[in-house]
Amino acid sequence: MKTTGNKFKIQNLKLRILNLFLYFLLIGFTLAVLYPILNVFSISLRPGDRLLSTSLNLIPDGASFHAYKVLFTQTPFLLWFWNSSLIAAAVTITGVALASTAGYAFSRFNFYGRKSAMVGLLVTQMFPPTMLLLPMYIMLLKLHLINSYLGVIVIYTSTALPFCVWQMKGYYDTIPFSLEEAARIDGSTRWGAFRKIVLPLAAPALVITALFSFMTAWSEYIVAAQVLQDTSLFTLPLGLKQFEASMSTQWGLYAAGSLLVSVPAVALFLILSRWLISGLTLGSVKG
Amino acid sequence: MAGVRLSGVTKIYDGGVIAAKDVSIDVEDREFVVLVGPSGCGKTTVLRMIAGLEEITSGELYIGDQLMNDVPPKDRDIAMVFQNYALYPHMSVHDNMAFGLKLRNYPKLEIEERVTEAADILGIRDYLSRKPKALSGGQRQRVALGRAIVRKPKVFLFDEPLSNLDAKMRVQMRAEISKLHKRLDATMIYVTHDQVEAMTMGDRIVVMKDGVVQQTGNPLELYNNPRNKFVAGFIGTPAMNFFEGRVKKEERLYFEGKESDLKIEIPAELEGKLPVAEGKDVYMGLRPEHIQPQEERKGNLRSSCNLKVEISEPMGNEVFLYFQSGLNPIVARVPSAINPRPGSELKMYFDTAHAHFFDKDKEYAIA
Ligand SMILES: Nc1ncnc2c1ncn2[C@@H]1O[C@H](COP(=O)(O)OP(=O)(O)O)[C@@H](O)[C@H]1O
Ligand SMILES: [Mg+2]
Repeated sequence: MKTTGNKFKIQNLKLRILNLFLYFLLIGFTLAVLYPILNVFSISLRPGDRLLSTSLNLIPDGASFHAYKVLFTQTPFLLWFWNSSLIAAAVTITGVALASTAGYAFSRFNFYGRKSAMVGLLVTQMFPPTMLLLPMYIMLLKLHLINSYLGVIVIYTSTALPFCVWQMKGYYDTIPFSLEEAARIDGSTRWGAFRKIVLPLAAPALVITALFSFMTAWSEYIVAAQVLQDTSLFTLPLGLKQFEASMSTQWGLYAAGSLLVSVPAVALFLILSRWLISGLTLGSVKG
Repeated sequence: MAGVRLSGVTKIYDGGVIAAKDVSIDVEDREFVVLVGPSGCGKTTVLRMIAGLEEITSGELYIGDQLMNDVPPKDRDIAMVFQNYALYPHMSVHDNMAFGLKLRNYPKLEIEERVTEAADILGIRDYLSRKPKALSGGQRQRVALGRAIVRKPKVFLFDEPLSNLDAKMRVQMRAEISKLHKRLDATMIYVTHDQVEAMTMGDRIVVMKDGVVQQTGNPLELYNNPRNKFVAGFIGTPAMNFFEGRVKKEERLYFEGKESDLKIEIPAELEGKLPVAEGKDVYMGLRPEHIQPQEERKGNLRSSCNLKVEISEPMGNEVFLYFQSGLNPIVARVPSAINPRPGSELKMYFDTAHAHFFDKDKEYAIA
């Protein structure tokens, strides 16, 4: 009895040490992630004359929200924000609509060319985006979509779609087909079973698709820089870059803008993560 | 309410598998018909064709008087209980049952009424707000049944609904489904691979093998007059004993075993039915209850054999004795008062008045 008790104690101790170690590791990573963000925040608060200061104070001397005020009142920041939102929303909605239906077709129907199409989607992912820049540009030119929202929306959607379709297909494969059959016998059409049974159960995959599409569009620079030439059409990344382009970089504005750009992305992630839960299909089949 | 009629129905899957071949079944209104057969014989395929989940390659399906070949599942007025339950995992028990009624635009009050009624019948009223994952296997099975009965469809289809339950639960649910059939007075088609389920539940049984219907009949008909060797061996536990051999004639007809040194007289009452069998290779089939030790000897038993007991399985009210005669395994079903030790020898009498004879090649029943 006594020896087993000791054994248990030693194991317990080992577990505690391991936990402690893990916590240190996690805290370390958190700091490594937070530090640059705090640094940017700190820069955005600095008054104009101390931008290159090497002081490590989080709240610099003479801190102010001046840069934020300038951003909203003297630059087209809000316009860029609106442009980016519009484009990202369009890409997200199109991406979710197309990926959820295409993924379903790949998962449930056995049509001619199904396998090759799946592989084809994968192949598109093997080229680096910069390599596709020129052909995409020429295509948009011929379609008269240069310098328009639609041009970037088309490119962003097509970039995000292959991953999203694969991802949706993979998730649908885990949802038992008999659920849809039960719904069809209960009185649903095929489409009704998809909408009322399959889509709610695929919520986690839909969230991933939405986030991925959104992020593809929200922070993209290279394609946008080629396609959008009118300043009034600029997205946030293009706009921020403008602060750098002048004779002297306006670091305060740049920092403030960067922070504000990341707010919607973080917010969206926090809101949607509610649906990122596993085990939605538990309990449907077998005992 | 309505009957279901399959007429020459064939199903060939994309890969070329013929899962059902020229299947003709006539299920009458309010009848409980069991489709039984070994795994892979095409039972599920037939059921799914009736449900409309699988296309019919050729042949005709009628529900009531209406040709249903091209009618979508939702318009066939049927309900199906799946082998794996197929409950909607994101809906509560109540919503699982109400789903079909909502789709059919029933008024809210009636939906509540029907769901509550079904829940009461099945004893799941306390779980109405739970999700399926918070239920046991037996409870899930009840919800699946509930989802079927709230709609009050013309025809109920069951695909091995009890195969995921433990033995005790299975017996209980078996009785409940039979009761449900009486109470609902509906047409039911029930698929199982378990012949005990088939025998205890079915008004009529359809035995299938390799996509082909072997025999249709009520349980006793199948038991007493199997049309071929497969049905004879499939129905009944322990299974019927088969002896390969030949029917010969000296001053009387007798059966001579091939792999066993059996020589058994064929009683006079059977002799008249067996003229075609003379000189032919046949299987003789004898049910375990028709092989009895001396003590149980009754009637006209003239064939006996000394056999060594290999295993004895006491079942409580009776004992199964397993012997080996040459290469031929033999099982007998005897009263529990007789409980010989394994290894001991026993004189067993073959009640050949109940023997069945089957053609050696085609396996159909002779006589
Ligand atoms: N979707 C399918 N595609 C091809 N073959 C199938 C399909 N479903 C079943 N089969 C085949 O059809 C035969 C009958 O299957 P099934 O009806 O499921 O038998 P059972 O329910 O009696 O076990 C089997 O050989 C099986 O492999
Ligand atoms: Mg089956």
